[in-house]
Amino acid sequence: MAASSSVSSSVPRVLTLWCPEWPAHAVPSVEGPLIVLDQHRVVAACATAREAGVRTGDRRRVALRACPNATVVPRDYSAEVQAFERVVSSVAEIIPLVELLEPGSLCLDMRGPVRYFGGEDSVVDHVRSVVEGQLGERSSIGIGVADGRAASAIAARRSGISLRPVIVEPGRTAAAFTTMNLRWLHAIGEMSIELVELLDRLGIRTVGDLAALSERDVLARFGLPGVRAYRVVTGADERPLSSVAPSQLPERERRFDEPILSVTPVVFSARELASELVQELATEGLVCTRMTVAAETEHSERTERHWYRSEGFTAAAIVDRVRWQLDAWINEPSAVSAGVIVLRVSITAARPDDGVQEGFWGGASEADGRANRAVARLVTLCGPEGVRVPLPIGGRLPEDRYGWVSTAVVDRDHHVDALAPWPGSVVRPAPVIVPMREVPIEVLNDRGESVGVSGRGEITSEPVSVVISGRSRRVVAWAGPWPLIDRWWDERRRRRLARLQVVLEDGSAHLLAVEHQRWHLMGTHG
Amino acid sequence: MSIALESSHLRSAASLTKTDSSLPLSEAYAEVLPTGLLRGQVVACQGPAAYSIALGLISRAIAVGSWLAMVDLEQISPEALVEFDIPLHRVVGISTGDDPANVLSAVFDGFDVVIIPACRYRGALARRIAQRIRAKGVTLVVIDDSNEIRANDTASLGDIELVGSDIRWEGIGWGTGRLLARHLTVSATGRRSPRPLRSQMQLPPENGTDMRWFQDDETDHINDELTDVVAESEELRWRLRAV
Repeated sequence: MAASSSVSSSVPRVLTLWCPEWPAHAVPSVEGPLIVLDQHRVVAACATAREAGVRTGDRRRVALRACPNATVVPRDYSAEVQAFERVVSSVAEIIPLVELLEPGSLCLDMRGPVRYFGGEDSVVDHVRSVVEGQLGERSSIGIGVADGRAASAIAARRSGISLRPVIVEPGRTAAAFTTMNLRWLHAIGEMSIELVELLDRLGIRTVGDLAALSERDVLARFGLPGVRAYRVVTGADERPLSSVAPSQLPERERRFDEPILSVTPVVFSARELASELVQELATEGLVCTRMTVAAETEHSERTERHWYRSEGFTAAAIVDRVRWQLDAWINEPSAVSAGVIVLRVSITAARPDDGVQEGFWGGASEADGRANRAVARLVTLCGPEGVRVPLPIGGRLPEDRYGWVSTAVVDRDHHVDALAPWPGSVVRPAPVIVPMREVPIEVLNDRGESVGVSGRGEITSEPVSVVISGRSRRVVAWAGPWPLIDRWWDERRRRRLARLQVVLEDGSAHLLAVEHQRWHLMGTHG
Repeated sequence: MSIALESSHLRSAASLTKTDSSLPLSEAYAEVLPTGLLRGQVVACQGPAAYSIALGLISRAIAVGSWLAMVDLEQISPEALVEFDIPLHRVVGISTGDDPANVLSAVFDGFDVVIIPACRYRGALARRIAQRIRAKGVTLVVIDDSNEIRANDTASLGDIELVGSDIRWEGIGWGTGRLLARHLTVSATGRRSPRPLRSQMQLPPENGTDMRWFQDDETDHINDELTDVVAESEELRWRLRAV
């Protein structure tokens, strides 16, 4: 293209391919509409569900209200990468240096292909035809070409909606996207949602609004994240050129004496590699943005993929990508016939870490980072159900009010500790120990008979002793009963019970409940 | 009020640069643990109020930024944590499953304070754990609520043992009132303290009286600084007038 050669710009031309709703593509075909959730939020949906009004970011309940007959499945990254693998390899056949951004999205440098195929239009046509060859004619794909990765990612998103390739002429990024909402920059990972919302409140809503400001003002008011977004929208290089020569960037290799036949141990050693790499870069004040993951089997079968992430790779992000790649590779038919003997992770691009520094003032502290890393590791050791966090849920009984929820499904940035008042619940202090399953007990009067509570909520006789797991103790004080009819409108979950507080001779206090004339232990003030 | 906020930030920044050998402790416990809540120490809580004593012991440390792991203790109600002023977003519950040794060593890498039940702190595993927490500077709290008379092997359950006694419940009568507050005496015995130390306290603490975010001398210090600044600017103004 004549235009591209006449502009002397340091910003490379980049093509981005984006498959909209990829998480939904990767799911084996189901009857009826389909919604894919990640951490309780919609990440993708099929066309039918979209027409019904399901939007990305909706909670499950909201999405199901819009489309009640939809099948809801959790997101499965490995399956997505695996399904995307054939697209990647078909593109890699015509253009070798392909970088994976995330499942369903890849990008490539246009410099070489443009010369080879003769023009950007021609490259786009070729890529389009091979991808359609894999996914079928009618599949919607977005292809965008623009200055730099970020702008081309936006172009690809736009093309995914209009279903026509979008090619932004060099130097015209801002003009091309001027009316686009800034939320797109969040969608491609160039801007935090907090910054988008802040700009929105200040009346800066579109790319054009932001590009109209001066870079100095943006830096003064919004700091480095603001400048990063500004450079993206004005088409300047989104990153200052890295001062580090590629040869100085670290690389780590692990050779296994015994060939390894399953993914998990390889991923486990990848964790070590990843944290070493990230630490080494961190001591130089760098963060990795592009890396190559390669693995080799005893029979010299190889997999090699380049990964890019604009916000930089954390150790966990590196490990994720190694796992995705290996999963896809191993599940490919006849790709692997022996155990893995080498795993190599090499950093191919790094930039100064301008983003999150591990905290000082109020932000993420060193203890927070350490704990979060430990939680990630514990999830691999005990499984997602073995690592739980406490969450307020709401209810009138101690077992309903708070719960322990698997950390995999919790939005950890958003925390609420306190519960709204629930009239009818027993007031502070709450029992410290709430048994996980029902503990039957006996509450006896002075004649050794069971104490009852009448339909009017009156106690039939005074409790004198309580038998908990075979041990009888004398009651020294008691209060109640407090009757409760909960969820009377729901046939299956309704409960009708009366509660009693007792203090026993050893000083322990308990909350007891009688339900269907049987007593059980509701909580202990341990 | 904003000064108060600033000073809590100052604390956390200062504590980032050096690793304290002890964790912050609420005032009620200062009498029974004069050396503070040391890192690398095992504290065993026993008796009918073991859980509450443990939560009161660690609440302040979690409130100022440490993370808490509760191992195989899913019966503890998060609501009680809230009543002890423990922020829930720094609490993680872990079930060890079949491989407690491995899981526990991962836990000690990431958390400052770990609570485990006494059934997970026995025999050879206990010795390994004790070595590990000393190396990592973790404070381990062992909850032993078994009501049996302690056998000889549990006598060395921790470096320090906290036992609650003389438990008095306020607000409840014979068929009247409700549970309001628990007063008890906590006594500490340890290898280094032959004579048990005792302290009266209320658990869970009354709202906002016991758990203060920082000590008075710190606020005083900041107030002093402020008065200095004010005095200086006053002086400047006078000088300007004189000019």
